[in-house]
Amino acid sequence: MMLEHAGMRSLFSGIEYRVARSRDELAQAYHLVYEEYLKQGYIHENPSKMRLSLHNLIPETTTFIAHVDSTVIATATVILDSPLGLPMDELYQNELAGLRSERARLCEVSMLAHNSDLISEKVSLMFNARKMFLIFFLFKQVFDYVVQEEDMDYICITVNPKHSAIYDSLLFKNLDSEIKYYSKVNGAPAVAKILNLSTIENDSAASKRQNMHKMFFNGRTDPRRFDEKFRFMIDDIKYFFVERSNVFEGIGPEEIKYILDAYPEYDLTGIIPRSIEL
Amino acid sequence: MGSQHLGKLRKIISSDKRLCERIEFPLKMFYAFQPEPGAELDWKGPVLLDNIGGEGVGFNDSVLIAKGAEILIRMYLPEDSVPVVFVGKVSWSKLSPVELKSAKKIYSYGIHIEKYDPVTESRFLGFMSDQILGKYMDDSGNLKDI
Repeated sequence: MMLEHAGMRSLFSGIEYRVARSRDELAQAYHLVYEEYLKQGYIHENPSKMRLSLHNLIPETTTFIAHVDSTVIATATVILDSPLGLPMDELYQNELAGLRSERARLCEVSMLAHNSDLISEKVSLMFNARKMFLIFFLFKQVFDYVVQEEDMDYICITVNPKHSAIYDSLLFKNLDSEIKYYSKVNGAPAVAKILNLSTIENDSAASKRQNMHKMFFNGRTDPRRFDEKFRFMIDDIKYFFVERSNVFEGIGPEEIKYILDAYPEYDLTGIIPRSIEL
Repeated sequence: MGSQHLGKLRKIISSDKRLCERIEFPLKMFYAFQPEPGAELDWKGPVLLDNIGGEGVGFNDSVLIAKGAEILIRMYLPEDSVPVVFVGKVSWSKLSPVELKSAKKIYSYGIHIEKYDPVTESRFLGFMSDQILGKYMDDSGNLKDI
């Protein structure tokens, strides 16, 4: 079928959803987040034109992509809770403490972006079919990954309050209803939400949103889409975290120790400055 | 398919100027004009929706309503006992073509949703997104080629 006359299935048949498997895919994902956050006014320009943090270096962090013809058009990153905490701990450490005290397994979905040149930010996620499927297929991958592969209890997320109703309709609950302001995104307002993964299937079935239920619970993502996740080699760590960013500047010795322990086989001398190593 | 798919995808998606999908759904709604201070709402209807979208609703009625008029809309989403209520504004109106020859004039209206509270917004988003998903997915949850 010619794509010009394509229906929804043909349109999406050329988009592949899976984990990022190469340095180039990861770089594209970080660049996409940078570009879209910049357009939203969440960040200032930086020479690397990438958005990344120390959490991206944690081996358990997983970046998902939607890509077409080797071009990443949407991305989301799953960060598992660790001694480094979650990115949202900057604002919501006290609120997360309650979940952690119950030994709940937490992860945060972060760095969510899609190419707004392809589908404008003005187009409503929940009211436009193409945008909805573009993003929901990504959500589905993330959802199945954290349930099937990581056995998480909660997905946590911070969102701009203007998007709050979207996540409410996806059955997220407020972790805290107070609006806070994120210094990492130029002081943009944020609300924290959580999705309880142990109850979501029943909650969804009871919500009377049968098509949403079908979207997320009919069939599981092929686990091969989670295979071959990109693992940083020494050169990649140097490239992303030293040459293309200044992530190691200003981080503490405990954070450095955690990263060094995460890569025991690597000699990171000269990459992570000795002065801040333990 | 090479790099052609992205180009064509871009072309197709950018040619779609709709911000919101419109769904034909036989919902009944009531509407009321903003009351004078101290007066009670005078709900009119029910009238059957012509279509519904994220930005508003369309309906027909014999009552003439001025373009730009602000009205309250109340409707019951399926399997929901609590109605959603929002403020709408008449974006356009016209004499319904099918009723032109009829003795009784029927008008078609396009109502733009102006505001609703966050809980209503969430319920409305949930309903609309579910309808849109249902339009494009088969029973197994696979995309239809429409």
